[in-house]
Amino acid sequence: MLLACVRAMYHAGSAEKQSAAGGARVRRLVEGAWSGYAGRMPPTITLAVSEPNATAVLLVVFGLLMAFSVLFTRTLDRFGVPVVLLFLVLGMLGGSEGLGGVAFDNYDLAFRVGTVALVLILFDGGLNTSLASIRRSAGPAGLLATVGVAGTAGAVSLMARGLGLSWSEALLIGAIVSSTDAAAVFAVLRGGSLRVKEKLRSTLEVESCVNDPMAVILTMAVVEGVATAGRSSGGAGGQVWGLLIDVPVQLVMGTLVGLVVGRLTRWVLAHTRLTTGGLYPVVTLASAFVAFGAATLLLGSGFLAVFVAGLVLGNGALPYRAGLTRVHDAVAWMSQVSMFLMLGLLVFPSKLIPVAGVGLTLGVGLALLARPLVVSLCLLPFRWSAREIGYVSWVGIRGAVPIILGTFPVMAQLPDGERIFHIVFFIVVVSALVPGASIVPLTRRLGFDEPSPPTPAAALELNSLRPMGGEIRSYHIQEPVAACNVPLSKIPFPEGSAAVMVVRDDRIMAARGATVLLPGDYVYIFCRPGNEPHVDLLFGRPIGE
Amino acid sequence: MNLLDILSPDCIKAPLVATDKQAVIRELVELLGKAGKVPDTKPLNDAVWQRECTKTTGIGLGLAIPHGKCAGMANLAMAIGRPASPMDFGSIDGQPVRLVVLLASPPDKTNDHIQALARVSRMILVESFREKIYAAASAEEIFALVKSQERPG
Repeated sequence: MLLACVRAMYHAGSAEKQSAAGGARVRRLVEGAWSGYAGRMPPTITLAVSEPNATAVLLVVFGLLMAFSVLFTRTLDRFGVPVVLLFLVLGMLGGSEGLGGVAFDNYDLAFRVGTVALVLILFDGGLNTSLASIRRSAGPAGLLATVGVAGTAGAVSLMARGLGLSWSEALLIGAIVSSTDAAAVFAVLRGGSLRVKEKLRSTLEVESCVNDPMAVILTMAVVEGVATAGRSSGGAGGQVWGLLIDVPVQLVMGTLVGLVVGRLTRWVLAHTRLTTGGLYPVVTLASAFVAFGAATLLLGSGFLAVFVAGLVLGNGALPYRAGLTRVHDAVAWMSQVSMFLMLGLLVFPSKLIPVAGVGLTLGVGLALLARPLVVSLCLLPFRWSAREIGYVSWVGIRGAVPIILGTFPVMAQLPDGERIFHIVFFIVVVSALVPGASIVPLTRRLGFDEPSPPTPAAALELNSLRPMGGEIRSYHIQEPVAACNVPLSKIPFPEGSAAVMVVRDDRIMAARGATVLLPGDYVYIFCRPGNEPHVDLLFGRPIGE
Repeated sequence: MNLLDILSPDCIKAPLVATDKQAVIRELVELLGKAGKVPDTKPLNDAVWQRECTKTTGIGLGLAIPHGKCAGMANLAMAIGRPASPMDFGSIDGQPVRLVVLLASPPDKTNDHIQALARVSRMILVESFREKIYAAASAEEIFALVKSQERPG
């Protein structure tokens, strides 16, 4: 049903009178790709059994793959390999050339499912990103996400051309792999045991969320350029100018739509009383879909809109917050697992072998040459240390976005579309594997990791269906903070705030006046809005910030 | 907790020489050292920095209150510095800092330490006082302003 909606939206969009040339081009392209594809309509998944058994077999295979992927994450986390890689490999194993024998070559469906998955992942990313960290990293991340992406695209294109690819292929590959991947970066920086220094973490995360629109726009433009170049000559100059208008329009409209949808959702949540808590995540999920769709229809970047909408919601009063964020966290993981499994299914190992040389060289070149060069230039104005620049260069993991964008040339029926898809796949795997595997030891060696407190034996969270004007903040007590070794009764809490529970080792303790806070304790504090700075001054950084 | 018990005019400096967070903390710790309130400045400097690393003490509204516990001190001590121009302290509200108040305490006086900390953070909530102390030209002026806020005794 969802897919039908997406298609309907695009059709509705194409019927409108187009005011800006860029948006019209994008929509024409996508629609063209789809209508072109509808002509041959290959069976999505071929199985030698009939319904309902076909669905049953599919669910068993996919379910097992998903379960295996998740169960293996702990082992992989120890080696620092991005877990997403495992999902890709399992997907390949499940494919027609692997053990699973699932034949799947529907790039069209893959693009749609991938888009929906990315929407859910980016929304969750927005929900969990604090405005303060955006503000702190806006400069470097913004530059990396715009100029940096264009620079990377250029550098990779030149390398690809140097390897003997045609200009059209080279430009396409450059544009497709130009953005770092939010899902992969989040997984590496937040998923595992590692906690990277705030400045670097927020820069990398914000960059990865904001740069996807740029890569999408570049890829659309190049795909269209290549498609039209066959029919008529000229117009390349106009295209460059078109890009200069397209990019700002997409970014501005995306941000605007995200702000509006986010605010509107917050207003709706604050003014309606739903019967069960389970309906709240449905409202927020709906908000994510609307943000993406509306922004795309209004010539903006849907991905940016989704992230901004999540950001607006996550940084304001939210009913049922704990439950809501947990649902979105689970949905984002689920999206990630299924998206990479599906993309793995789409890859045919036999088509990978012929492009191995080119793919490998470009992957290594991207990680060792293009990205470091571009990052150094972009971060030059911010006077970062060489080690910091090196680190940001290294953690430029590519992921789902390039693979999904890689389906574009195939959908647009460009010559060599599938070859490009497989080269892109190779680059992504190399860029995830080489830096990915070294991130944990590298972060520790450079001293960029922050000590993260062990998980407490018990946690307390407020689950209110309405905004209550207060929250529970939890702190891991360390020796240097002022509240350490002080009895609770002597702590000058701001008016309206108080400690409610202490967890020491495996014991839960009531917050009594005589309880002296010791290093290693977890203390849970009910905090009125506006009191946060004063409570943090006494207790240090709250957990989860 | 009366702040006048732990603050003396020789531990106030306006303007400060240092312009970055770490150097400002060092300058204020040195001030306490010179006044004879801290036997050894290095451990105090380390302790304050360690606390600063858990989360910034720039609590917004232009104020930062770096603090730390250090063995060998007889009593709590306080130093105040006004940066030559508003400086970056990584504050919660993202605004530059216009006054830095450093608090040092012996490890066995944690109660007084936390009371003093809260006292300073509340004092700055009064807008008229805040504007006056941020505009103060000299150490004497700052001392007089703190005195006006504290009950004598």
